[in-house]
Amino acid sequence: MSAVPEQRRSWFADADFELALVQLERERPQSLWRAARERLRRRASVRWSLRFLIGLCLLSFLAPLLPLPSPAAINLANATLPPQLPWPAPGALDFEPQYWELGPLDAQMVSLRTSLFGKWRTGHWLGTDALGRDVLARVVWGSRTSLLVALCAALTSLVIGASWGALAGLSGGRVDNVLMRIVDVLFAVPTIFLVIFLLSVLDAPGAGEARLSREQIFFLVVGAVSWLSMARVVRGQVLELERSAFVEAARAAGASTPWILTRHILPNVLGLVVVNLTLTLPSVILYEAFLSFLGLGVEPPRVSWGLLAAEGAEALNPLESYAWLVLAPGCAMAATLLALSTLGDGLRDALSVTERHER
Amino acid sequence: MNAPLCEVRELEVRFAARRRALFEPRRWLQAVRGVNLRIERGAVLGLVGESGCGKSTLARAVVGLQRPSSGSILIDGVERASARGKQLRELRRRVGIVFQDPYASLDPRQPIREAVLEPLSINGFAKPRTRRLRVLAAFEAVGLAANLYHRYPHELSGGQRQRVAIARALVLEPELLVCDEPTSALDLSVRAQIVNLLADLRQRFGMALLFISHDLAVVRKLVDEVAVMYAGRVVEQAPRDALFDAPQHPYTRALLSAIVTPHEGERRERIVLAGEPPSPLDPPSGCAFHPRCPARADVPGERCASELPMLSALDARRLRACHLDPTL
Amino acid sequence: MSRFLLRRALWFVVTTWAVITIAFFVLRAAPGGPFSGERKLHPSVEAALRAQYHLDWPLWKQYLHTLGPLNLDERGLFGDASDVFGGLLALDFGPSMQHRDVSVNDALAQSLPISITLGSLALGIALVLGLGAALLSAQFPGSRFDRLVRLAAAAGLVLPNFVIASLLVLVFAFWIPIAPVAGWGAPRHVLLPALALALPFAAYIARLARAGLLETLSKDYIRTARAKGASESAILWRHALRGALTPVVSYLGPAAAGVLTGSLVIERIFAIPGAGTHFVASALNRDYTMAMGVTVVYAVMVFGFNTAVDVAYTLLDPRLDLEREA
Ligand SMILES: Nc1ncnc2c1ncn2[C@@H]1O[C@H](COP(=O)(O)OP(=O)(O)OP(=O)(O)O)[C@@H](O)[C@H]1O
Ligand SMILES: [Mg+2]
Repeated sequence: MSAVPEQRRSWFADADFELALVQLERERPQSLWRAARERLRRRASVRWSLRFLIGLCLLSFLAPLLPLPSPAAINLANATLPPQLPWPAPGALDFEPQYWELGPLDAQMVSLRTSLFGKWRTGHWLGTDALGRDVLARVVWGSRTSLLVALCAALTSLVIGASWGALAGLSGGRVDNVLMRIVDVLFAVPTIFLVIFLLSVLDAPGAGEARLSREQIFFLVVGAVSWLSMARVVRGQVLELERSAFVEAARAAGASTPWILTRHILPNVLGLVVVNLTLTLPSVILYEAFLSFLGLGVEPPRVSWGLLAAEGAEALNPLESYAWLVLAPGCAMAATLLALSTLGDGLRDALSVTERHER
Repeated sequence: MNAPLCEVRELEVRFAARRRALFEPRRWLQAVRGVNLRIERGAVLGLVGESGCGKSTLARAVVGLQRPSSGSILIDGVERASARGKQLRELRRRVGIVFQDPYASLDPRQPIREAVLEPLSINGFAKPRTRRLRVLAAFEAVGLAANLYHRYPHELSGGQRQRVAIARALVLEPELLVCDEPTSALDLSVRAQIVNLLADLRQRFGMALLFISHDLAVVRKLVDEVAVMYAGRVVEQAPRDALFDAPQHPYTRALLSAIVTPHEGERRERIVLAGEPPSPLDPPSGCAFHPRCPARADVPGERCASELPMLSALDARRLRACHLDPTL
Repeated sequence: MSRFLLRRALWFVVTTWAVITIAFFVLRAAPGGPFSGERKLHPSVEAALRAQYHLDWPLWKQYLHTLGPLNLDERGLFGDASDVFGGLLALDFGPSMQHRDVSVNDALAQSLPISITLGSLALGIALVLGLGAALLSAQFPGSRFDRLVRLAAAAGLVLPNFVIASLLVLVFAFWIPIAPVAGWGAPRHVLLPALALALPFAAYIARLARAGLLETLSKDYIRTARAKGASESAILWRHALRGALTPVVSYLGPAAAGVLTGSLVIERIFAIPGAGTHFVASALNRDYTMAMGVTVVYAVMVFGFNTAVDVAYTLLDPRLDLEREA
């Protein structure tokens, strides 16, 4: 009884619009993403933040290649040299490669550095610490830890957090309930205490061959706590989108769940995820610093900004301040976090298309 | 062959209400309680009633967004709930929907051409190029300038957005278009344009409309027949003029008294309803309207409070659910 | 409201139980024990110590003993009954396993008031500074002062608190010596640590409140009030402050938790004998009882503060219905 579609006459004279369509398709409309990029580019603060962050990433990745002194090279004769301006010594010819255990790539870079620059190293431009180690080199090498932690947290936020939230929001009902209760409990348990436990406990000596290194545990733990807020935010947004009238309209037209996911939910969640990520990263970097300060982060002789600042803070004593020891890592961290949050603000503004052009 | 385009039979929809305490028995919020409706091909049925009386829920059930708790919805004799595969796809094509809020019903990240194209792509209609031509044709049909083709929803006015939503519902050439308060989120001036557009489209394509609205003036302009809902039930149904000229149910009278009639002189006395609309969680016994009914005193005894009035024929085309003596 | 509190109480029980259980098993699962650290003890001495602290019991029995409220050892119900109740449920945290003649309760009784003083002082400073700066800068948006506040707030947000602490020490202990670097006891000792702890939160509060103020100030009813001739300061104090306060109050919950964790760092920098010092040390030394005690106390404080904040929130914004939220 149901009508046979082929035999109905169409309501629309599609062929009449050939010309108009050809003309319209010649225009290259601006996509929302491109418009957002334009808006982002127009902001000087965002441009500078981006440049800074890219520079920082390069610097920290290429640290072994740079003609810096060794970050672990102890030289008590040069202890607690203050930074001096203008820089008195451009460098010296006493470089000795002294590092902790390096990965193969880093070791390669170090040998490349020795063949490039030989024994030449830069001067102690930012001063030295109580053991005569170069502060600049330590800050540069320390950035690697901070950035790695941030990267690790970003990945877990994205992979675990976003999919956890999306799964909860999409499935709804009991699954949603269980998933979100887990997040609630993890949130309610003061995670910092858990972290301290896990770190101090998993890292105990004598746990056998298979034990993870302190660094690995550290990254695991930081990753494990950083995805919670992402999960919540994504779930909220997915739920809202699921109920939205445009998803209903697509459903009424017969759209499947994968269709709705890729066409409507993903594009609308993506911006939020990116913005939330730029908010997560600073807090994770701060977190690393916090843990390192308590002696729960990376282990000396390795360095991180948190560790350096902690050393600097501890070197403060009633007689002598050694201000540069705390200022150098502190400023590096502040600049990085400032750049990240500026970028985050810029992204949020650039990506919020909807109500922008309305009165 | 004689099956109406759309038939709603004994439709009930209930939602599980949130429990207030841990061990409280589950409560049901019954939004639609046994509705029967028929919409013939090309006919326009208006559905009016207070906020929360279940209009949207009914509409969502008709387009398949809400599963009925019991009862059935038949489109051209095919039951919605049991349709599968190709048959289901065909059902979806034949029934379209336009939502109330044009700001919420378009994806902010989707250019409007994509929005209109989407139903065609979902259903694998024709070739991609033909689909795009169809989008332009639909633009023209709803009076959208072709140069808006690449725009995004936030670049359009409310009226334009609603036109996009209508175009999106039209591209599949539905035989029934469900309009859930399509004008109530719009400015007064735009409202008339959209109503005129719907009237035009109906003329041009001969589709049937289920038109839901608070706005009786708009309903009067557009529809052939009106059903009045109260607390999940239809309490009166009649051809437009019959209903507007001589409403039979006290609730309809109260609704109509609130609008200014175009005919000078026959202005009715305004009936102001006392009290709140009933809670769908526990509606009053008997006739759900009885606590607020101004004509309750005219019915002998406590019949209104105890006995549910059935929707029954007053004459050839009028239905009413009330214990009042029809001759009154 | 009472239903909300009931629900919260239920949640509280669940969360605290989860914290206790996780802490208990994580600690026991960890290699090493309270007596394996320092110098090597003679095996017989160690065995005696283990027996004294019931570490020779099966795990489930240790768990129940830790949990309470019944004392399972020889003084308990099944022994000579001199001490029927014990364990966490009886608010008895037991003896510290590191500092052998101190009970955890005593250690907490000594250090907790210090931490709480420091923490509440820091929260107070953060509120006063943050709100004050926001009020002033919202009164003259775009002014030099406003820009200064925004800059300071941005800086306060990106600096870890130990860097802030160090900066404060540099400035107020070295360059302008008006405060001591470390110690506890005199009121002047508390100044720098409380300030260092407070500043990041003050920065965030200033930002929140400023945004809230500016938003409420642009609302229609404010314009109406202005049109009716209400004075600017009356508008600010009477109308806008309320709108700005709501986000600030809801931030107080996370802020309190942050102050608690922050105090771990600050207490260490300023050598303050607060409960934070016990925290890390006890976890590292496997001082099972002390670690459990500190964790539970901190978790309870965070939870209690969050609940108090939620209640305050409804009082401030009656539209919010906690029962629906919960
Ligand atoms: N998904 C749902 N879950 C629970 N209750 C619902 C749901 N959808 C609707 N309701 C309830 O069903 C009742 C009827 O709602 P419906 O949206 O159909 O009313 P309406 O007549 O369209 O009102 P309005 O004129 O305000 O749009 C309301 O009490 C509403 O709260
Ligand atoms: Mg509705």
